[in-house]
Amino acid sequence: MNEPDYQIPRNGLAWLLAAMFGALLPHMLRLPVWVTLICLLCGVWKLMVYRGRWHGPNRPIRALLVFGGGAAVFAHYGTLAGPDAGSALLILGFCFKLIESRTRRDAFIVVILGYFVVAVSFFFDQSILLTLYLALVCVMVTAALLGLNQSVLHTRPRRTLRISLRIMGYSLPMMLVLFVLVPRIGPIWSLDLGQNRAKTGLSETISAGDIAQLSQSSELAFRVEFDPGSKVPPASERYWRALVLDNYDGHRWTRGLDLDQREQVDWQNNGNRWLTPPLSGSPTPLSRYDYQVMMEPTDQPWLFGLAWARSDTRGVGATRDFRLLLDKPVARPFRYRVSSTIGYTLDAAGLPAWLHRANLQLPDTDPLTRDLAQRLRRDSSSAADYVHRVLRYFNQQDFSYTLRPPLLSGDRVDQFLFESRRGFCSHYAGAFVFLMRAVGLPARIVAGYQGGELNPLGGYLLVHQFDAHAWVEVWLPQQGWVRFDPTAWVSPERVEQGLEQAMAQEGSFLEDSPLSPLRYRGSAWITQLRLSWDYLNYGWYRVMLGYDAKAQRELLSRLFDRVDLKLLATLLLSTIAALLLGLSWWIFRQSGLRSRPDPLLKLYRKLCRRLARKGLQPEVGEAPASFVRRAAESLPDQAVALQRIARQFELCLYAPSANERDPQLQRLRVQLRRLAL
Amino acid sequence: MPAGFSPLAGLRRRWRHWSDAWLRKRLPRTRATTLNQRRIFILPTLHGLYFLVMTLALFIGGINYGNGLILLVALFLVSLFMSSILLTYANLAGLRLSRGSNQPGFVGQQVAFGLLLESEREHESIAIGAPGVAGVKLDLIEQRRQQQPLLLDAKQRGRLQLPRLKIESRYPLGLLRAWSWLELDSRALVYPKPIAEPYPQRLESGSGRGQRLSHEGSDDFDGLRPYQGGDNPRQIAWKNYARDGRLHSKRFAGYQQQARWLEWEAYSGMGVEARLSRLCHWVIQYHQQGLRFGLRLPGAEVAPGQGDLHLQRCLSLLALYGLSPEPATALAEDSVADLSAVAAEGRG
Repeated sequence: MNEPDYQIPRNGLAWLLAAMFGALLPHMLRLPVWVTLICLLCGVWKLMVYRGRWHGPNRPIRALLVFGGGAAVFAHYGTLAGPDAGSALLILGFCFKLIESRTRRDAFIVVILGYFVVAVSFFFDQSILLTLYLALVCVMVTAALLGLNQSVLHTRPRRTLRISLRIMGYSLPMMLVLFVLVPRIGPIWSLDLGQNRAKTGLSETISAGDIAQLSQSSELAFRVEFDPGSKVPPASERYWRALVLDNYDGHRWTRGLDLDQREQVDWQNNGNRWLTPPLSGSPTPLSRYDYQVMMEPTDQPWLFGLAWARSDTRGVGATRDFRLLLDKPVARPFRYRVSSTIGYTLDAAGLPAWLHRANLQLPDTDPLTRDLAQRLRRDSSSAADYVHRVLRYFNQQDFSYTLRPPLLSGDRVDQFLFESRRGFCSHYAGAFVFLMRAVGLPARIVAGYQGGELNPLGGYLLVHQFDAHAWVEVWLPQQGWVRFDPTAWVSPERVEQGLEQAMAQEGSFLEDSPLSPLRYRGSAWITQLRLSWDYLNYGWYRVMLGYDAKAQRELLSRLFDRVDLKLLATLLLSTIAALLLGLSWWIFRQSGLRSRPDPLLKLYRKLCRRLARKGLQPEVGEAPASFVRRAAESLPDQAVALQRIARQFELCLYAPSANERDPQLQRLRVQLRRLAL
Repeated sequence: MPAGFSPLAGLRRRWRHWSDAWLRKRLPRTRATTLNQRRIFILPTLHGLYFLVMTLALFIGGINYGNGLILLVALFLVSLFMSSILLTYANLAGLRLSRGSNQPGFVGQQVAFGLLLESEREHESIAIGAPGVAGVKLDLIEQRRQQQPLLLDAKQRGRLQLPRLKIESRYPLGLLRAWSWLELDSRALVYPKPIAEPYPQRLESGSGRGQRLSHEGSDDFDGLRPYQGGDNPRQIAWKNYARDGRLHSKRFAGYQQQARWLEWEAYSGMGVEARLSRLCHWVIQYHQQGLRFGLRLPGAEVAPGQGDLHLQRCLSLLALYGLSPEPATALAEDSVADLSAVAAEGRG
């Protein structure tokens, strides 16, 4: 296998370099610059080695490269494991292998690594565009593999490309069949992707600026598809809960109670059935929404849902504060089913002491706010009345909604309520909860997303990062937890029409991303284009990501009564066999390979069998004609006919024709038929 | 290394013996064959196994991370492997192999066996080799019909049978290896190795111009005769043709030389091969000097003559001296006995 004088064919090398560059390109945007530089250097080096200008790396340099590369990756990431460091290592190895590759085996390993690098790209991005691009790279890698196996004389890369495209074309139908029919099984062992990547999204703490920063991002947070029978909630009801913040330290809101601990959560069948008691009443406008949420990775376990939400998707649990939680961080696009019922009274029977206490926590700050709270409470007749007085206070004083609030310090709530009066949803929610707790009403901040854009093409909602929002839940006697959104009392547009309308005057909507198509929602065709593109992406995600064991079963149960492993195996094998048969027919269609025996030989054998009955057999090495002549001598009554046949045999033999209907052959046939033996 | 008993070597020998017998039975010696499913064997290469291992790794990765696209890449590679089975097979299938013209050679030189390849489809990167044959790699792309010389070292005088050829291809992706064995009924003559040694004077008969005997010489112009098919074009009298439009050949007179005889007895006291080698040398020498000579061996002789055909006749006689006459067709059964006979005689 190791030919000593083997040189990678020129053609193969050209494609290998092209494939290497193509496969690395998506990683270059993600990896540190020095990795990219090393990769480019390796490519140039290989080219120069091939052209005979430079030498390939000798042993010490190779060792230096390998250890140096490993050390550099470790220094950069602090680890050698995990997708980031792992892919950096893989890519460096790929490049180093390329420069030192001399034997066919080396080149083959580079090709194999090329396929691997392509596959690894899908860890980080699974969009349509990337998939199309990587399909192209796959063509190049396959062309490189083909080039390695072509003869050295081949110097036409175009032909190599054409053949590799053809081979891939042969393989695609089989791939699709496999994709649909290969039984989907769950993870064989559980793995966690690294969580050190910075992802846009909600964080566990909210200080004044966080959500304002988030609102500058036009990234998609999640999509919601409502079931056919379910209606879409109006904009003012679209409060997607994700987090509950109940602890204030005078500066920022954080999660005081940790209700996400495994044993606290109501997983689907671990017996934490405490969720049933806090629910009560058959709510008057009992409306139920059934939908599926398809979320982008957040590296956090929090899921989104309208209150009050339950999910039957595997691995999803419900917490004591009525949120949904996944049993591991969402590291890849994730899809789950939710059914939300609006109108239940939550915790109507009263709060447990620990929960009550936690929702009254306040630091010893902001005396002016406390005074205001006492004053308003004294004037109001009931708790509910107090809440409305506070809301009216926000509405009537000259508060304004802005993405560019001034910086606060010291007694921040006091400063906000009495001096700046300019703020964002988290300012209002924070101040509101402070005012509630100051008079002994349990209250908490809920962070999540509010609103969403309906895509008319697919009838689903698009929720972006700039829809991030914070609002308040207050616990009132008899009514349980009630949602209030103080921002809506300051800027009703924010809730009814979204952030863009609320920021119309200020012009600060997505001001940091001038190229985002979302900025141009005024233009009908850009919006149309954007929504169509999203619909395409959405379909792609549904097919590629949503096709799991369950979807497979659903698809097949439409066609077959019983779907089990046996059916899958039978289907799989028979379809693949049919495809291979079709493919072999296609490959051999214009060749005369169908092993049809020579028509002349067939006639001769037949004659031999007839003569054998007369006791005549061809001798070893006897030519057909001479055998027939010998037969003529020993069968005098057929001598003339046999002589003629012998002549005809010679005629056919020396003017051969593969055509069954050749006139000379036909004449021989007739003569043989007339022969009376 | 002392030649001790090694069970492994024994096993290997037995395996080779058994597989040889099996192959002979399955693929008998033939003059021409078309490679088809009966003749083509196919198995994954080591590279193919690596490829499958990588594919399995990607598959497990795709499942474990629940990543549909990585799964898709793995399934694509599986499909690539499967269609590669068909394509590797197709690269050999339909290839028609037959014997072409062989070039004889002397012992110690190389004999060229002609192998004729034809097909209706494209075939690429086909390796042909056999023990003792320098391997070749060829493409049938633009030319669908090609004669490929196979060089084989000539070690023994006599008829040299082309060894069993292995026709192999890993095209297109190198993941699988398809191969076929071909026992082609193709033989080439191997002449004795010429060894220069003075011819004993006592047997050398006279030289110089003999009497003019023949009209078929090339020495002196002797008149014209009407052109006949097969005449040397150089001897056509073009001037006459220009004059009267009819083709004539010039006739030359040759001087019949006194024929010399190369005698077996000239090197009495030497072994068979030694005598043949020396006679071979003189056959070539006389031919190059354009002399008329005859060759006399015990029980066989070539009458005095001249020219290429005569040379070949003499060399063939030397090559086949003492060997059994060439068997006719139907070689499948007797081929081995035949070959061993050739070998035994040659060694003697």
